[in-house]
Order: sequence, then structure tokens, then C-alpha cells
Amino acid sequence: MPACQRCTTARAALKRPKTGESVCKACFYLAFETEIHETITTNHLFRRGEKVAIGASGGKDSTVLAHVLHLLNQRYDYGLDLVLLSVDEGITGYRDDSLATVQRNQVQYGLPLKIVSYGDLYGWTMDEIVAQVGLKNNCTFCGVFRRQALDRGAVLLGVDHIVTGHNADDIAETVLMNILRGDIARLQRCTSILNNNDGTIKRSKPFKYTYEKEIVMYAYFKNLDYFSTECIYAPQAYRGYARTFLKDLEAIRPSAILDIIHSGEAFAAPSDPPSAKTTAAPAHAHGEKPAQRDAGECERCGYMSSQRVCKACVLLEGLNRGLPRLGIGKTDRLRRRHNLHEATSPETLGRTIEHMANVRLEAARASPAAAASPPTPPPPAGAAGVGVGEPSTALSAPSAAAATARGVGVANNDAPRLASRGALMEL
Amino acid sequence: MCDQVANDRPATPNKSGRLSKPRSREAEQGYCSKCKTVKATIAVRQSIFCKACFLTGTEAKFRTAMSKLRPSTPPRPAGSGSNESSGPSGVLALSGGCCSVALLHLLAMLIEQDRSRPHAVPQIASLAVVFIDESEIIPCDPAYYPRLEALVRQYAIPLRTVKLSSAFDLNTAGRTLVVENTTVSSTVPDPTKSSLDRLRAVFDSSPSTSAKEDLLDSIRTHLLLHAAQDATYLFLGSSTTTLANRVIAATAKGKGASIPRFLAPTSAPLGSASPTVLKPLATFTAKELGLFTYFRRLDVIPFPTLTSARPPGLKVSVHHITQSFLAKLEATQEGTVSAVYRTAAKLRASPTDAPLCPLCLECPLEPADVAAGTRHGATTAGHVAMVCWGCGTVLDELQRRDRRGARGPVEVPLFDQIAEYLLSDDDE
Amino acid sequence: MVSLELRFSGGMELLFGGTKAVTVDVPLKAGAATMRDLLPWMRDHLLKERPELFMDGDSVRPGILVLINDADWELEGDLEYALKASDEIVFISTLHGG
Repeated sequence: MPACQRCTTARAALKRPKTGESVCKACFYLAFETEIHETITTNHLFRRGEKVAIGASGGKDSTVLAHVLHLLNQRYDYGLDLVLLSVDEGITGYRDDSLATVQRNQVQYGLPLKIVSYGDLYGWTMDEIVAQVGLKNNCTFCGVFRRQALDRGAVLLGVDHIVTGHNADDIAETVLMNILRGDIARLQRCTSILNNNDGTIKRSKPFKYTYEKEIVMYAYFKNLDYFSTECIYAPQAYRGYARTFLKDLEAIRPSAILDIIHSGEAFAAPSDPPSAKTTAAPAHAHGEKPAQRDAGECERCGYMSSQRVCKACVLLEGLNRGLPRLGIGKTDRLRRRHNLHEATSPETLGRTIEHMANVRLEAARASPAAAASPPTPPPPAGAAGVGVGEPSTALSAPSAAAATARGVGVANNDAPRLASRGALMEL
Repeated sequence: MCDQVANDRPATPNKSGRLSKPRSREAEQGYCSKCKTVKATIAVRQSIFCKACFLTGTEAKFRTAMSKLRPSTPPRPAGSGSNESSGPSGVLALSGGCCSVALLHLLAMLIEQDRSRPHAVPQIASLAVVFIDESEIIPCDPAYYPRLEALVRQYAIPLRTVKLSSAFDLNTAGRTLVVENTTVSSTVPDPTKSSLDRLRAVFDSSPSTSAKEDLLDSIRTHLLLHAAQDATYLFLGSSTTTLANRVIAATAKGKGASIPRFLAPTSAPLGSASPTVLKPLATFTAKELGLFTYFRRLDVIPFPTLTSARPPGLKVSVHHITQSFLAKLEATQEGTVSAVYRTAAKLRASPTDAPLCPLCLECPLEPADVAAGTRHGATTAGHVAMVCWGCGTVLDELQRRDRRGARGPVEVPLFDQIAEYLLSDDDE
Repeated sequence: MVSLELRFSGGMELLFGGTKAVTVDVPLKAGAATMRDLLPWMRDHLLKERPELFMDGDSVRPGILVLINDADWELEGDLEYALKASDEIVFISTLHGG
């Protein structure tokens, strides 16, 4: 075995997939960690004192993310308040095991943990959703529901920022997929490392330039605890093709992944007119109300939405009313046919998502450093959405004790929740 | 964490990952969408046609495409090379494949039709054909040349053959490179070596097929622009399929910034002092052109490429993998190729004053340290040339080869390796 | 036995020894044998070059067009088309590109 190309003293233990260099373990760890640090600093991802939630799935990306962020936070004194935030979609077998991993991570890194579940938030687990809608559009439901779940969890925790473990391979694959699917809008956004402009909690991807293979190697050599299985409901159809293509490219040109990201960044040149979604449509000749408006709130649950009713609420209504295609595809036609522009009675609507204002109220109560301005209560059903006062983001980092108490408090609730889910499944 | 939203589910291949059954459009049988009287026998682009309507439709579509090609800058008046009656002159790049052969036929037809209409303003008054002979690098069957000559002779259009090595001919100043506003190396090409030797040296020094393909593309571009320098237009036979392949391949090579430029139906890579490049076949798929050339009994001459004889499953080069990938997708999901083209066509070039990369003439230049630094996580020391990200990778592959020299790492000026092969403009 | 006229164009001829057209008597039953039967027969008896450049699984390699009596085979049932005596089947490669 040749000598490490970096320190030239130790024996080389591996060849870096990203650069082809032969390096020893210590140099690999340092290079891996330092490159992420540079990504963080060059892109100004964090502010001192920020409370940051790490989207933790128990998989390799989020486990390594938790490990590395925790490490860098100490090594470079970012001054961040880190918490783990996990989503329980309610997929038996798959999610149980990965959540167990996250709970171990909580102990291993000494970070507080919050788990938000679809069952609690929406009254539907993914198992139940798939039973109802089948395997064709289940990912739409999951994607929309996860987004809200993360944001709600973040508000409950009082965080300013969510980081996710999207790595370079994920982003490169997404660039290709968006070209193949003709989704120019997503194509122009998908390489941005920081997303802070659509009213939801700020999100960033510190692993944007980190190769998946290197994440796996890092986890392996450092003996990090992670759970690795693909979601059992993921279709892999188009993505399967793109993934194979990406792997083939990488085999002949290791830099292909970074090259594709570089191309994707070039696509993001903002010279196109604003998307139709943010411009108000004029009242239709048939007397329909314009359904779109700028960055408003869902009138049912208060979540940020440019529509009158947010996507999650629409999908949920569809589930509750046995209309699984509600919100998928030809939304407006279906809505018109079922008079969904009219306020529907709570009986027909079924369970709705808890209003964001209540969530903020809960968060404020949990934190000893309460919000400066008290949030206003939710508007009565049927009225046009009223802007809810934003809780002050000048929440100073809540005391470690309170945060931990919250985390521990939720973790203890897991037992009864799992039991109730088990009960549901027997029906 | 799974982040899949709104996944479409196209037909999945069977377990082996291979197609066992092509998509069948038997359900669409019926009458021709155009004349509605004859049974349809051809299926292209979501429509079905009878053979006659397919052919006339293709010809009409070409006329429409040509009439829409108004270059954004007024074309230069034809230079001294043009000896036909006044009107724009064109040079057509012929490769022998079905797309450029179709273009030759359709263009010649258009010129003929315009000539027979005394009141029509000719869009193009005269045409010449240029063929880039790649046999110095990719040997081919010598019987192909008389076939090519016979093909072009049918149209009474002059054919000029240009060899790859001519890109390495030295001008009177002893240089092969003249590109304005670019960092150039100080290396002076060795006057005792032949152009062919210099060509071979560049190709031998490249270890990867992808790098060779990129070099070949660059040389071809320079030679074509040079050959057309006195003409108003340079016609390229790029089809939707060719362009979709280029979009994905460019993305894979870090040359995403080049896409708006090479997708534009008209472009002027060397600015106003150069022919306007036109791609009238951009909205025709390879299938349409393959059928057209067959039905019109046109001789398609299959000159080999670096990868045309390699099996589709092999990971030979970026272009080869991309072509197999898109062909397979198109076979299961017809319209993929058009979708890629249409999506990429919506991208806008970000306005920049940066000059174009002197190698590929496609991407704007980026600061060298960014291009080198971010790509490999370490800055390349020594002479870093001002080239685009994509070409930087090509140069790195050249350098890597020499780095494994017998006495350990060797610092090789990157640009000097290929500086010699860029063509000079004698009249500059 | 069914007698068929096979044509090769656009570079396909390279795989079949340079032949652009050939009449073959294929030992398959007319009216019963389909394209699905013809392709492997061609691969085993006519092909001079690598089979992966001609076939992919049960069908032709993506990028190869097939015409049956001047009609797109996709409109004729593609692999399930039942061969008739004197059918003309054309294979056109579009992979040699521009």
C-alpha cells in the first residue's frame, strides 16, 4: 500500500471517490470534515446562536450529518443550538427501525430529539394512505405531508433552520430527473444550497458537495450507527433510470457528480419571469374566485400557502372523503365538481390539521423565553384567512434544560403512540 | 431522507432491466391525421400519417423552419468566396449520417424551389458542402469517399473535404492559435513536426475516450467555422435527438452554461466576424429523418465515430452512455427526447461579458481557480489556463496522464498541450 | 417456410456484412411466425457482427427503426406482427446521427 498522498507518512487506507487521491484514514476524515466546513462558511449557512434542527431519518446521510455538524459546531465554535427532528410517516417495519436508530443517535450525540408523526398530525399513516390510494401517487402525499411535518416540528422546537442530509448524488440525480421530466421550475431551484424564500422554515443542505460514497465510507470507518433500507413504497421508476445513468457516468468520470451540480447551478440564472403561481389570476369569466395569491396562509390550518387551501389540507380532505385523486393532477376540475370552493361542514371535511397558531402557542408555552407578541387565535372556519402574527424569531436559544426536557418528554410519548398505531392497524 | 414528490410512473422495464416489448401503438391505427383519407402507416411524434403526407409534411415543416430562422444579428454579406448570384451563401456540414444527408436534400430542394420563383426573395442563394475527414484518427472504409462524392454530385453542389490535421497547419507566423482576448500559452509549435504528428500527439496523450470526443468536437467546430468563414451561414444537421443527447452530455460534463447557446437555432460563436450557425432540423427527431432519408432513397454513409462500433451497454464515454440512455428512454417513453429539448430550450443564457472558452467555443469562461478548485477540492498548481469548467476537465485528463511519469509528478502546463491545435484565422 | 425481403439502411448493413438487401427463406410458418421469431433467427443466421448492436432483449436495439411493407412496425403490432410471404422488412439505424 502506497503512502498517503496528503500527509505522506501514514499508509494509504482508501482512495477518495471524489478526487481519486489515496489517503490514510485520518487525512480522509479531516478532508471530509473540512470540505463540509468550507461549504458551510463559503455559503454563510449559519448565524451564531441559531437553533438548528437536523432532519434525522436514521439513515446514513442524516446520521453522518448529525455527527459532523455536532463535531464542527464544537471544533469551529459555530455557536449553534442543535436538535434532532425526525418524521414518523407510519410505515411499519421501515420506519420503526430507523426511528430506533435516531433514538440511539440522540443518546450518542447528546442532542435533543423531537419526533413528529403523520398519524398524530393528519390522522393517517403512510400505511393507511397507501391502502387507500395505492402506489401510484403515494409519494406526492408523503412529500407534501413531510414538508409540513418538518415545519411544524421546527416551530414546536422553536428552530430557525432545518438542515437535511441531501448529498451531491441526490442533487445530481434531481437535476437529471428534472430535465427528463421537463420540470423547468424545479430545475432552476434544485441546486440552491439554502432555501429561505417561500415562507417556510429556512432549509439548507450542507452535504451539497459531499459524495454519497464518501458518506458511506466515513460512517463505515467511524463505526457510526445507521439504518440503511430504501423506503418500501418508493417507485424507483424514472429515478431508477437516472440513478443507473449517474452511476455509469461516475464509473468513467468520478467528477461527473460535481459536474452535473455545476451545470445545475448554471441553470439557476434568474432571468425568467416570475412563475404564474405568485401572480394573482384575474377573476374567471364563469365567476370563479381567483384561487391564487402571494404568500398567504391556508385558511384551514394556517400553513404558508399561495393557494386559499394548502396542498396538505386538500390531500387530507381527499383522504377523509374517499377522494384519493383530490389534489393530484386536475385539481381544479375535481374541486369545482365537488364544490370545494364553498366552505364544507366539519362532518364532510373530516379531521383537519391543527392550526399553526396553536402550534406556535404550544411552542411559546414550552419555551421559558416566551415570544414577545402573543399569537392570535385561529379564525373561525369558513372566513378568509387572517394573517396570524408571526411569533418573534428573536427567541433567544432556549435553555438547554428546557430543550432537553422537551425532547425527553416527546420520547416518552413514543410508547403509547406506537401502541395506538398498532391498534389502528388491526382494524 | 426520501424527498420524492410527484413521481411519475412510466412503464417499468422487466426485472432484467431490459426492454422486452416495444411500446405498441396498434391502438392508434386509423386514418392519416393529415389527409384523413388514406390509412396511416407512419407514427411520429404522437401523430400518425400516411407515407405521402409524412413526406410532404416533412418538407413543408422544413420550409417553415427555415423561414423562421431569422438570425438575431443581421448576417454578414457574403465574402469573397461566394461567386453565385447575390444573396446569402451557405456552407453545409455533411457527416454522411441520416440527419445531415436529409438536410442536404431539403436545402437543395429549397434553393431549387426558390430559384424557380422569380419573385421570391431567396433565403439562401448558394450552397457548398464541407466534409470533415476524420480518418487520420478514426479509420474508415475507403469506399465511402466515392459514395459521398456521388451523393453530393446529384445536387450539383461543390464538395470540399477537410482533413483533421489541417487544424494543426501553421500560419505564416508559425502559430496555429489565434484567438483574441484569451490567455494563451507561450509555447511555439515545433515547426519540424508535421501537422499529422501534432494531431496524433494530442490524441495519443488523452487517456479517456470522453476527452478524445471532446477534442474531436472542438477541432471539428473550429474547422467548420474556418471553412465557412466567407459564407453567410453554416448549416448543421443537428436533430432533436442529437441536441437532447448534447443537453444531457453537456450537463454531465459541467457545461450546463453552454446549453442555451448551442440549443439556439441561430448562433454566432465567433461574434459578428463569423458565419451565423443555423440548425433548421432542431425540431425533427432522428426517427423522422431516418424515415425521410430511407423513403427518398438517399444514400446514408455510416462513417464510424469513436464509439459507434461499441456495444450500447459498455461504459465507453459520456456521449456513448448518454446516447444509449436516452435511446432506451425514448423507446419506452416516446417524447422523452422532445421533452428534454423543449425543457432545455427554456433555459436562458445568463448575460455575461466573459469571452467564450477558446477550446469549445460554447461556455463562458470562469475564473480558473473556481473551475479547478471546486471541482477536485484542491487547486491545480502551475499554469491554469483560462478555459471553461468542462474543458478544464479535459485538460486535467491530459495532465493526469503525464503526472504518472516515471519520475513522479510532473508539472505540465495544461494549455500548452493543446494550444497548438487551435486554428488560426489567416486574414486576422 | 416464409420468403421475406430484408433491407438494411442507415448503417445497419454493417452488421450484416455490408448487405443492403437480401431475400431469405426463413424456416418459420407463414401466418403463425411473428417478428418475435424472426429477430432471433436473423441474429443466429445472418448477423456478422456483435448481436448487442442489433438486439436488446427480445426486440431491436433502441435507435433502430423497423418498417414492414413501408409501414411503421409500431402500427403493425411490432413484435407480434405475423409474417406473410413476400413481406418486405426494413431495418434503419438512426444511431450514426448527424
